[in-house]
Amino acid sequence: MQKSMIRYLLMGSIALIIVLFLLFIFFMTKLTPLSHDSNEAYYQPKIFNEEHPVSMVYELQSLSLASSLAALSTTTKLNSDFDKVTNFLPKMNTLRTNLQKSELNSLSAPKELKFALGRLINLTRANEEAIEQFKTNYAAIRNSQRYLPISYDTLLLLSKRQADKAEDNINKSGLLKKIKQLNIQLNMFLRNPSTIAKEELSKELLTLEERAMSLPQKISNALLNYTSHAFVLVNRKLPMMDILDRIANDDLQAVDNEIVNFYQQMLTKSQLERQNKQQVLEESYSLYRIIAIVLGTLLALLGIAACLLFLKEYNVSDQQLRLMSKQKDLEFNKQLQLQEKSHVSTSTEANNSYVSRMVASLTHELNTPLGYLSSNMDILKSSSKVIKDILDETEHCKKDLLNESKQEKIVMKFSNSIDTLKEGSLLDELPEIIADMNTGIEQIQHLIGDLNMFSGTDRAKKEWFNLNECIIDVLKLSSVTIGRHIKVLKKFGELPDFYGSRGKITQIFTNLVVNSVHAIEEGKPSQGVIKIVTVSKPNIILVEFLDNGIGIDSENAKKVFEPFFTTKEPSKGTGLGLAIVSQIVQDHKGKIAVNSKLGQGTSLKIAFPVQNKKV
Amino acid sequence: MLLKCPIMLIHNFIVLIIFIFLALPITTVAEPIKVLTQPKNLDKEKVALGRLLFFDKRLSKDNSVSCETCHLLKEGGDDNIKISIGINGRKGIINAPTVYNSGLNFRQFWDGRAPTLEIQALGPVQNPVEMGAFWPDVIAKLQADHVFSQRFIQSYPLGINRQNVTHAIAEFERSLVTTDAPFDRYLNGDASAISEDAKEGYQLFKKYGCVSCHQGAAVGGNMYQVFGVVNSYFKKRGNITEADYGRFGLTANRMDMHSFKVPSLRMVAHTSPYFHDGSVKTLREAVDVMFEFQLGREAPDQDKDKIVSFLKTLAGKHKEFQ
Ligand code: HEC
Ligand code: HEC
Repeated sequence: MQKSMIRYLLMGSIALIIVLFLLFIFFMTKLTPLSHDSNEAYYQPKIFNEEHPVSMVYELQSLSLASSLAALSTTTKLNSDFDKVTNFLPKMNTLRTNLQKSELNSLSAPKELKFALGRLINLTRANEEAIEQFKTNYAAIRNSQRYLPISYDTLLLLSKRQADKAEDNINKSGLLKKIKQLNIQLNMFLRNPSTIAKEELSKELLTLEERAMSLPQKISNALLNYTSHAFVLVNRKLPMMDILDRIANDDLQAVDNEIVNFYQQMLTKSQLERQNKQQVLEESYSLYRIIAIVLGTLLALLGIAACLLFLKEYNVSDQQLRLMSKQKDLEFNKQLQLQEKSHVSTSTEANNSYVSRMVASLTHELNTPLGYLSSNMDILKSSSKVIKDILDETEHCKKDLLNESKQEKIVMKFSNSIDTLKEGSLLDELPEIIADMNTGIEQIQHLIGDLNMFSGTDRAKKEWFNLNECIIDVLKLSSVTIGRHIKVLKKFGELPDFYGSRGKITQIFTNLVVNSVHAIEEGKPSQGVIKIVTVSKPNIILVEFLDNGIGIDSENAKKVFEPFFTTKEPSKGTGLGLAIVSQIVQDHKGKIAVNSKLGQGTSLKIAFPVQNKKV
Repeated sequence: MLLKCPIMLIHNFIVLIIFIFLALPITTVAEPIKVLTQPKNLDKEKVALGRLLFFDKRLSKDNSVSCETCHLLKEGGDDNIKISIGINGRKGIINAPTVYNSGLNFRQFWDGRAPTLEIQALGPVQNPVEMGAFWPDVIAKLQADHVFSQRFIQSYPLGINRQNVTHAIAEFERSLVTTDAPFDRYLNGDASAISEDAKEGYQLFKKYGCVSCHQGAAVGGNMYQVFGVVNSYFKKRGNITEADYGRFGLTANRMDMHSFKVPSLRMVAHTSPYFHDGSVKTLREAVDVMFEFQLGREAPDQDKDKIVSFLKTLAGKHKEFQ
């Protein structure tokens, strides 16, 4: 009797929890500006009235950012739709002309203000142009990335068929070998593009195109098809990164602040009144927040109540409870630590650009693979029906098989099924589809791996080892990356053994070496040099990485250890590199410091504490 | 034991709900081509004035050419010849695109040099190979027509001037949206609106990647692309003229060489010959060119035929057309 009462209560509270949870989510989506499809509402400035020049500044800036984000997030699928991006254009045009006529640009306005306004207008124009180029490049790169492997396979297939013919001059002349080498080089370029590699590849592709002329028609066409896709990628990959950089530009925000600051100095009385109005609006906005918090608390309380009731009914033992709460505590502490860390390293202003960088980089990185997956999933979905029909048919046949008189019919049916399967291009394309999906999954795995590394959930085993040996290993492993044009100087001191995760330390050293190589490639000194120094001091091991690459300016040097900070373009890295390095060093109770001069080079010092080896 | 604990069950349930919430926007794949709808907020009287101007030969130097001479509304909004012929039979340099749905283009002209229809309309009147006139003369001619200028003043208090004339023409052009295409009916859920071939053609159009350039409500008209991204179209065709430079002629940026506004494919069934050079007569050949120079891939003939039958379902209706 009592038990069934409790059961009803439980059912009720669970239902309530779910309803409240849905409500909670609903309100949260109202609060979070980047939620799906609420773009419009967010980019409408809620502050001043619409004709107010400052509100126009805000709007112009936010429209510009919105179109960047829309461009970045529509990139993704074959089904991308750039109407969303172009829809912003007319509004931005009117805003710009209106702003130029507004009081911000009047004769009496201060010179600095006019100057800032001019800059804002130019920046939004430049942003628009960057988005135009982005759209153009995106489609081309996407198509060629998709069709390059196909054209390569066709080429290989044709050359295989040719192999035993008399006039074969693709296999025998060593051309094929060259093509294979080039394909590897191209793939490396795509993963890690640089101007040097671009020029080399262009040259080789051109010679290939020349040599294609002397080949038999069919194979020459296949080769030219391959090279033309390769040319698209080689020529457009680097500009694309530059474009992405320009789209993710932070300057817009700064100019906008400049204007608003100036403007505030000029505020007259009536404008102050308007500001009051704004406060009222903001207050009603924060009402949402209060509702959300109240709902959240209620939800939590109800959840706890429901849990308690459940516990009572099922009589979960004390011990288990303790175990669980302990785990929770641990998790909480971990989160707290993480939060603290990120608080220390970032001021609120930096936080803003950090979030926008993160959104830009994550949407881009996640959307591309998801695009692969979802578009191919569509194709698979439609094809799976065909396969199912055939299976059904086969099932029928199995029954009929027992009956001898029907055997001829069965053979007919089977050959029918086989024909249907062959007719549709499905079987031919299946490997392609799966490969596409695989690429998508790999990219996601890679990204999650990066994030995981950063969150430190994937902790490796610790052991005793020598840091000098570790560095030598790293240099061996990265010898290809370093190449012959960069000199590596080692100055190793005698070091005591170090206790830590060898894998992780190897990872950070590799990371630093790769960074140095990039910096050198960018800086182009006459002779690239990487110097690695290790010194043992009382209680401390010092490791220093020096290079004479491009370096970074002091402004950026402060930020290099922030997660998602990168001076490279979003598609090249999530910007987690040095943040991971710093995290790992901290995990080993070490310290890391950077010292760099733009155009001269960088020095990264890491200090590890020496532990006592227990015998 | 811990897994079977009811709290974990609730927890899992809630996680599942969150997951579904997060996954929903991913699983509902939006179609890359949208239904065309009649534009709102157009001033009927201004549209009517614009229509008169569009057909008005006084916009040319010797009163022989109107906009409609090259943009035949009954024939799909273009002139059905390779290179347009203007005043005194002078030959232009480029193929005339359709004016239907031109209001949806993000920029006007093949190279996108005009940001709005108003600015676009300024061009042809003074172009020596099109209408060869001089704006002040045209305005004077129109002002001399008292019936017309009386009517004009009703809608435009400042009367006939260059700005108002181009605005009226642009307003008329914005009304030239073709709606109720068979394909739009199909998108709206009428499965019998288009043939099986056309349906498959649409899937192929998406699958091969045509849709990465031709997309949105107008099936194009929202970005620039190089003509001959893969394989060089112009090397093969030869005889390169200034009209083939595309946006390069405007920006002098090397990346813009041969780049053009991707045209809307809405009226493509009626706008032969195709491309900016009018080099191709049939839709089927145009699709061949696209496969070779924009996608760089081969496709079986039946796939191409299906894409053509899909393209033919894109044209909608408009009272000026048919
Ligand atoms: C001599 C023939 C001719 C005449 C007359 C003419 N046009 Fe055109 N029109 C063209 C050609 C050719 C183009 C393409 C030019 C280019 O892109 O450089 C064009 C392009 C356009 C476009 C751009 C469409 C798009 O998709 O980019 C519009 C809109 C247009 N014309 C409207 C008009 C109007 C309005 C008039 C009358 C004022 C007019 N045309 C008169 C030949 C003509
Ligand atoms: C890389 C971008 C891109 C892709 C992919 C692409 N197109 Fe095009 N398409 C263009 C451009 C640019 C033009 C205009 C070329 C010119 O005339 O200069 C065009 C023109 C056309 C035209 C002629 C329109 C007219 O009115 O002249 C047709 C038809 C067409 N494309 C169909 C297709 C089909 C079908 C596919 C898929 C097989 C496809 N396109 C793929 C960019 C692309």
